[in-house]
Amino acid sequence: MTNPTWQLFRAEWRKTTGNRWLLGCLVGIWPIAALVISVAILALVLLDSRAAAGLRTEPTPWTDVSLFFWAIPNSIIGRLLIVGFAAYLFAGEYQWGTWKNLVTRRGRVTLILMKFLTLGIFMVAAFLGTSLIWMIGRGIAQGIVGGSYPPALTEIPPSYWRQISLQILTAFLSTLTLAGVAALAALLTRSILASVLAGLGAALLDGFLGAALILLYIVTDQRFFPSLYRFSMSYNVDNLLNWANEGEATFVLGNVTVRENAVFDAIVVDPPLPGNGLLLSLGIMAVWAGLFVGLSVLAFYHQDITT
Amino acid sequence: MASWGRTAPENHHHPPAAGSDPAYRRGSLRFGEPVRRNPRVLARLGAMVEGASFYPFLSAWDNLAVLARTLGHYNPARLHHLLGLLGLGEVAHAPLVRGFSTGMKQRLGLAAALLHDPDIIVLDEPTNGLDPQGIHAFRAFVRRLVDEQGKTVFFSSHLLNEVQQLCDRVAIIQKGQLLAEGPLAELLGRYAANRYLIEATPIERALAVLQAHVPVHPYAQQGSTLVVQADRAQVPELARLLTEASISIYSIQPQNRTLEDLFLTITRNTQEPPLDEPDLAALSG
Repeated sequence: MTNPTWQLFRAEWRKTTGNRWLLGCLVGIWPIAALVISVAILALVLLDSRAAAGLRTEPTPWTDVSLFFWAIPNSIIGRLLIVGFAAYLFAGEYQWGTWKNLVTRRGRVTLILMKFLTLGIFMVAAFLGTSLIWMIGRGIAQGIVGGSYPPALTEIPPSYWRQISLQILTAFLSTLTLAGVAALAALLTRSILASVLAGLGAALLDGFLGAALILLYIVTDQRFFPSLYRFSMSYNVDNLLNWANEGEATFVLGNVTVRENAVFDAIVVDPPLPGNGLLLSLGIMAVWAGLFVGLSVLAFYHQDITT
Repeated sequence: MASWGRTAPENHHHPPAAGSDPAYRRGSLRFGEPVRRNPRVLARLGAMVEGASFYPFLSAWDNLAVLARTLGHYNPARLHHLLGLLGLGEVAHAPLVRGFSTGMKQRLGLAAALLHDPDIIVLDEPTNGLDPQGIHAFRAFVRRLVDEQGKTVFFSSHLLNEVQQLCDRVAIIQKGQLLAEGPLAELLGRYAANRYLIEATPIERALAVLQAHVPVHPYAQQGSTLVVQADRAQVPELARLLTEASISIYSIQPQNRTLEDLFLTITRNTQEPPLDEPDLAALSG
């Protein structure tokens, strides 16, 4: 195919796959981990009859197994690796001095958007591959112990498709937002390390936001502060996953549990703040992702790369 | 900062004399369109800026393929041709570029600049880090580009000797200001200082005689030679004066100016004070 956009995507793909070690460490680690755990489970069921019996009597539906790894972007390690990958993709071009080769050949907006697209496809492909390996590994284990691996293809509950599609969408938006933060930092600092730190900082800040808002609520007794949390990335990821798995919203800061201690008693926002609707949460996540991607494009468009 | 450009063949569009055309100063070329971020114009330009930069973890072939695909014109035959032309055919797929010498990277940079067969090629300090053989080969290749393929090459360099050997037209730019531009021979002639190198003895008496008639550059006095500034018509008179003073003349010859002389002359009044002129006599004595 000679379509210029397709050609550009192929170029981006080749660059990304060219650095095998980095790609293996930042992206390939998930399918590799799924493979290792699957092999370990197989070894366990072959060597330990009690484990095999447990697996036989209480089989985990493959529909549940397939959802397991889609929570990667919400874990600290997952975020670290996503940010690292984005930093490498965007800041690497400065490190190698190759931006100047590219911007004379294609429009900047196209170049930067293609990077985001490549990153998104790589991450989703990695999670998809991980899920498949995990599902197949568990299926083989079930087969070895002679257990079933429900449900049959004809008996898949309709809610499963809603679950998996929402999980994938959440993972994609979450990844894109993190990548946007890392990309923006990469474009502004031109340093892989700085963009990793900035991306992690933003992820941690988002994580600590809930605690900070709770604290403000305690001090001021104003429900306005905890209600701000409904705009955070962390809350909306949790909320979307709740919509995916339970079919309902989660209360804003309602699931925060603070252990009783000398300073605070158990704290809840009382009465609970109703959670975001599905579309609102999706919209907020899309705005976050769009904001950082847009700022990255803007920063790159106006940048003098020769300095 | 020195910059020069090769004159374009008659049938090619070429840049106007920079500084004389307001459109040029605004960032336009005579392709009839603004240059900045204009894909149509950029498609006619090839560039190697600040040395050759490539993905170290890819091969020469893959690096060129990435650039060609970015351009939207991936053509394996063209890649093969260029790598062969620049003597990189044997190393197209291995080793990776991280294992390339500076010369190999510069050649790959040139291949990258020529990837889409541009009309104008901008080369910024392309001979940096090259050994003498590499510089010679590079120079020959650029001449072929110009003479055989009719390309216009803009060459930006601080290596003025290199510029003088290779260029037809020169532009001297300092802090963004165009100070001089034109064919090299014409510029050297225009800024010629009419200097003559006189070898005579005793040099002290010769200096005394000449100082009464023409400017003498004492810093250029070395051994039994000195440099005087005079019109060509004055030379017989100077010879006569020296002969009448019983000074032995061994030679009087015009001192050819180099591009470096020209550059220093033109930029002297516009930059920070230069270092003191060296007293060659003192240095040698």
